[in-house]
Amino acid sequence: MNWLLKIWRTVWLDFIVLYWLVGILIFRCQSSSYTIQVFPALREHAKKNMEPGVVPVVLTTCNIEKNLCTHYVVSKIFNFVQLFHAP
Amino acid sequence: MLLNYHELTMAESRDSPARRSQFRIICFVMTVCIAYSVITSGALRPVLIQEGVFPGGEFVHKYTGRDYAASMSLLDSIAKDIHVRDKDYDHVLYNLYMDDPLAVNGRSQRFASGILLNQGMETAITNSKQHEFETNEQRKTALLELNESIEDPTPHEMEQMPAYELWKRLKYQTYELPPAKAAVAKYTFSNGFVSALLHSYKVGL
Repeated sequence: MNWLLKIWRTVWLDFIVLYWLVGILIFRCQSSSYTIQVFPALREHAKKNMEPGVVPVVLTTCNIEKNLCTHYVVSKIFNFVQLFHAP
Repeated sequence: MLLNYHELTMAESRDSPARRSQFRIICFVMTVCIAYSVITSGALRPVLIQEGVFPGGEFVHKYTGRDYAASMSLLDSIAKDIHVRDKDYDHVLYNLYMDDPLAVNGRSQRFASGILLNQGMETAITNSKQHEFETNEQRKTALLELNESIEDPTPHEMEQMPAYELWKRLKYQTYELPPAKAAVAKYTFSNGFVSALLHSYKVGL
């Protein structure tokens, strides 16, 4: 058990930081609507509000100065997508 | 800095208090750096979705199929071609993701990156005193002229070429994207490597 104590004495500060991060994540995840994934959430939202069979397309533009991206899921299919096959 | 700090304790025995203290400090600094990167890249921010309108316009773009984490580097290479500065990316340069990444593997995820030419974008660029190209028509022409010196990659090159070399070999194409109703989400983005890794996670999994 001595070696375990040695490790603990060395890394206890890191555990505090990591526990804090995990704690925030668990607290946030308690909300059923919480998600950190942008595109699945947008696609899910689009599917609910779009005609059945329509493939949602995601458009993203980023403001690098403000560290912010804006993501659009269009509710109307572009023929654009049909132009392309898998490369 | 960490290496110099390590050298300060070179004469110490392996399990000395000074070495343990050094290890503790290095671990703590690294943990704080990782925690900071994760937080600023938006990992813990929830997604809020609103109704909005995608503005539409003429999309001058390059199209390929690679992991979505590589899409920002293609956008950067296009920005260099058209001399758009980092601070002018917003609502000017777009990535368009076509596939559901849950169903498609990394090498085949189709996306197009390019500049969306419309009236709003023209005003924004002009207001930021970027006069290299005065009109959208000039920007479009300048990009399409680059195609003349580009040789299409072979299917083997498409598969094997490193991304930064492949981007230069892709030709510009144009397409008129119509304005459309859209679901809109805003999300934190740090433009660093943690953000790029997180980008893949946000797209799929």
